[in-house]
Amino acid sequence: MLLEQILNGLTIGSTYALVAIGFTMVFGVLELINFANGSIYMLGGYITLMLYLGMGGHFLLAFVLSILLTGVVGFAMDRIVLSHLRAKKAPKLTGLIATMGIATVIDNVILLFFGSQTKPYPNMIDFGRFYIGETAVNSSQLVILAVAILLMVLLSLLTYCTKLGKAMRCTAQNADAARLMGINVNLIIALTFFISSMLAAVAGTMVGMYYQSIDINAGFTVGMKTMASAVLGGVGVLPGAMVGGLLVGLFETLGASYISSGYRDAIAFAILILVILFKPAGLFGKKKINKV
Amino acid sequence: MALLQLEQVVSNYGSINALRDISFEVNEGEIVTLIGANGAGKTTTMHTIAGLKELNGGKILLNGQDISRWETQARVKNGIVLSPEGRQVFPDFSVLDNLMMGGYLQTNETNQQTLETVYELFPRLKERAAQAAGTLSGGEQQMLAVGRALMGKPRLLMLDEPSMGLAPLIVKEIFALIQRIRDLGTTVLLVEQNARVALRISDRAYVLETGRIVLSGTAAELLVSEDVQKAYLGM
Repeated sequence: MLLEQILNGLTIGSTYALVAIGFTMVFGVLELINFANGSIYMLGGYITLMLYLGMGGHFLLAFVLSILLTGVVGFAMDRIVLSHLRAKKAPKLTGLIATMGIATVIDNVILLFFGSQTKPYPNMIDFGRFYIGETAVNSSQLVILAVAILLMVLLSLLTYCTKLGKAMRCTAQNADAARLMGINVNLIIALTFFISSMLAAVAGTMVGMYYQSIDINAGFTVGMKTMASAVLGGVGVLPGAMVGGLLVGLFETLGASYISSGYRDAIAFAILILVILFKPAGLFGKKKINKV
Repeated sequence: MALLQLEQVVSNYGSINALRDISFEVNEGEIVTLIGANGAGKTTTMHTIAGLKELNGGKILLNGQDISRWETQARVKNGIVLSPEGRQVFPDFSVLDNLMMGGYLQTNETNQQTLETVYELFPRLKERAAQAAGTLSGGEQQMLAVGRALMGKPRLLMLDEPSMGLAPLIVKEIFALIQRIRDLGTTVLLVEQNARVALRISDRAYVLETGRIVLSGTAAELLVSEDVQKAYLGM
């Protein structure tokens, strides 16, 4: 029972981690809280569903196209809205409000196309369940965990071992200095939105399949939880978002099964608050010293 | 033809004029210094040339070509490289990674070659290659900032306040190195509050006051000019 709950928690947590990574990457390069991240996660799930139904059952193709399309939405969100705010040197708060506006637009477009009812979602990764000792394991869980871990490894390689990743980290540390190296900072930022939105689409689709349903409220809840994950791990720090996501998934699942399922979301946030009280920069965050 | 030429450059921050009609030139192989008090517009001038700050009037020419509207990365690619005020190294990166970021637009082979030149100029950077840049001393960070700029293969190396916050002995070392860099064939545009040290290694200089050039001449002339002595050399 406990092992099953832990597996459940890690599964949902790994999808939080994917979304949280995107959130933290954007925060890293821009110091911008992207409130649209949850909506983009939901959008990815809906686009996969729409393409899957529209193309007569080519799931994998629908999934890949959806990831790319959602990525393009993120890219466009930066190019069409946020990059202009940066060019005009708008205060950070304006950018944050703009992402809230974008979230509202995305949510309402989804509402317009799909309506407010919960939609059934096909589970294409269910190959039955089996037992390891006494523990029941669902194959969907293994697929989700495997995909999430694979993406985290790929993303770490991208960030720490490629020129693009180094350019992203330079931009995160000091955007003006990055510009002086000849880095096209605006392109790097737009690419960061592209990548973070693709991750959200993967997570949105996998969770849709896992719960076999998707509804219009998914974005907001997951947006809040992944923000909490990123803060828990230390915002702007890649491993922090990974661990933070897994922990939030674990806490809420264990809390729901051993305390009360009604408190599922509250437990996750209560633990977040506790951690932040004792470690304000998050588990992996560094204290920022502002030298004058 | 001058390597770099500014023609009546105007630059504003909102309604405040930071630069009003600045014109000057830097010739190939020179060390040219801009001196002036705090707020005179020295850093704004550097940022405008580097493309970090947009131009609100006038022209910037590189070898006669108008680059006023170019993005920063295009200017870097064409050899205008700024080592910014306050060094601005990437603190989480190692010394070597910082240097490599300086060569972001160069090929790997070029970077390997330039790296050797940089290590020759700054042996200390070679010793500390694996160390995080944020843990270096101020003087070492300044050397790294200059070395990183050199990795961009500049035709015009712009140095903004390289002596800021450094001990006199280290300042001397840095300025000797700036001279060596020029002797190796790189043109240098220098901004300094430490006017005396800067003028000693410069060929020519311009004096900035509240966004205008008020005086110009050879460094030797300015060193003995009464106005400069009174205002900037503390005599």
